Amino acid sequence: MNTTKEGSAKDIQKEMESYLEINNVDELFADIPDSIRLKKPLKIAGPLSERDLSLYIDEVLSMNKPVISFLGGGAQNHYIPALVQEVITKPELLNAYTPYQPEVAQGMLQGLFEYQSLISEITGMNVTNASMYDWATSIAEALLMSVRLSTKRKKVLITSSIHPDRLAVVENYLAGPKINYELVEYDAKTGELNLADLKEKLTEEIAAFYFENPNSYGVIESQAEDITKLVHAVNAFVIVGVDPISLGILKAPADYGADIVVGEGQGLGNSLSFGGPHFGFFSIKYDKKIIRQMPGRLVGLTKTYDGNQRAFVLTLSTREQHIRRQDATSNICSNQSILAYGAGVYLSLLGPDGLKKTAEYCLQAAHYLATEINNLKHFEAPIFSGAHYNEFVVRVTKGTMAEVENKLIQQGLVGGYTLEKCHPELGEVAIFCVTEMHTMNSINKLLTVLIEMDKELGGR
Amino acid sequence: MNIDKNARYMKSHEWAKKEDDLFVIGITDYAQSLLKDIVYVELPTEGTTFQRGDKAADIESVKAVEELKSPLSGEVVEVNTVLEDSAESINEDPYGNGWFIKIKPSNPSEFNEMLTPEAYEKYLETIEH
Repeated sequence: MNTTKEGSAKDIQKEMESYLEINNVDELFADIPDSIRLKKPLKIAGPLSERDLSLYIDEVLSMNKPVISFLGGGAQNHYIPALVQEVITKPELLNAYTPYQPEVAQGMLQGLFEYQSLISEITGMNVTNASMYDWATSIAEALLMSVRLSTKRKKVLITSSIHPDRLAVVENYLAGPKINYELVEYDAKTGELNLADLKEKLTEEIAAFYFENPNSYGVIESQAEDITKLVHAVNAFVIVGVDPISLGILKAPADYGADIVVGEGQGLGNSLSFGGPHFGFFSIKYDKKIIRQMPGRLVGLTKTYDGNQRAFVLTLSTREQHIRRQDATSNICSNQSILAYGAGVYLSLLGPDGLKKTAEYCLQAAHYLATEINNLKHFEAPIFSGAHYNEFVVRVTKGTMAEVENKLIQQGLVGGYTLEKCHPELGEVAIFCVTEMHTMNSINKLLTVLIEMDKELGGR
Repeated sequence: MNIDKNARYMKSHEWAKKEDDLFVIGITDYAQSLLKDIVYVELPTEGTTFQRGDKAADIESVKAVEELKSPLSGEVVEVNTVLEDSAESINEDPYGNGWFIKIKPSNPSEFNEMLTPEAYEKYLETIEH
């Protein structure tokens, strides 16, 4: 090819075509069967210039209304320290694709090792992997792992106080290997797990029991130790899903006997981003056999060949797909580890005191809001008597929760997550979530609107 | 490559040795040299029965995972629990301390169908570079 010749794009294209001995570019796609070729143009608007596109996007974005949201359900609005963004947007970290080769990615591997260590610290477990896609898949993988380790057992138990979206994902994962599951009921008064129902359903057939703490109603499972005792009595695995920030004040799952700990890592320095990307964390207690059934990447610490420097590497890679292929523990081979990296930065910035203070604020602000709402004539909060962390269920006793939602939206507020689709038995309810991003102003703004609504419904 | 004169071999690099009415099974020196440092083995439980060719154990090294396929049909009567903490015994002494399982054979004549030490040695010459 004559590289010194100048020419238009067309001339260059002709030169390439002649070099390849084709008449036009279409010939390069000759092996795509005619029957599946698109014969007409796609019905989408044509290309815009950069200026026009920029103006168009500004126009669309200007339709966004800033709101104060009290939604939770797994994704929470927590403060993201500026330093987290500063670190994870460094091009060496952000742009790298699967950066796990020790010879070029020590920075990434070290950050993930620190992340693993910090999650291990707050959960009390001593092995944490380099992250999963999200909470839902972490639960599914934990259940699959338990079944693999239980040889003859092919059934699992799951708390009914699990978010329906997470359950839907779990069902997908259990379907392939034909693992059956049964839900364990919650106590209608306390909102906690119904221990009697758990006891009845725990047989030698059960490989594992999964519950959430706090559960999806925001209720803290105060009987966690009793739960783990019952499950271990039939030699099954205890898997618990937790809110990582809540671990600033709630007991570490390792201390009440959890075998596998999972949860949503989004709240640790990652934005809501309209649902993702987020990441799941996955921790176990070290056991030679069990760790080999653990999915996901694992970063380990070692020394260089001459013994002079420390180095970080991926370890126990023989569990993974690129070595075991169809015998791998999981088909996870990519993930959103940059987000886990950010979580590591977040946790190291907050430290144990910062995490505790954040959790305390969440707890106290939520209780303040719940108490004030409960003072209203037509509202009940929380509807369960069990202790709650930063989420709680609110019920409106006259009219519908939808009407409450509409009224709130008109005032620039978004209320809680409504439950009529998955828990119609609870009536007109929604789960409200309070975090350190809700100043007293925002909380009082919400209360003002609810007080007004209450008056309209015939309140005090 | 070391060959044990008392053993018989499979082309897949397992060996078997007669010990009274049982057979001891392991992997050959050639196999362990290919695997490099062996870090973990998953052994079957005592009482498990195999047909010749069934997977009997998983062998994990720093770079690969391989299966040990039982060269004989029978029942596992003993497994080498030393390997649980010292998988490197397989690298150090593949025909001795690095044994995997002891089988009570259901069809002892299968042993005669295995390669003799000479035949295995010859086979190695064709595949080694």
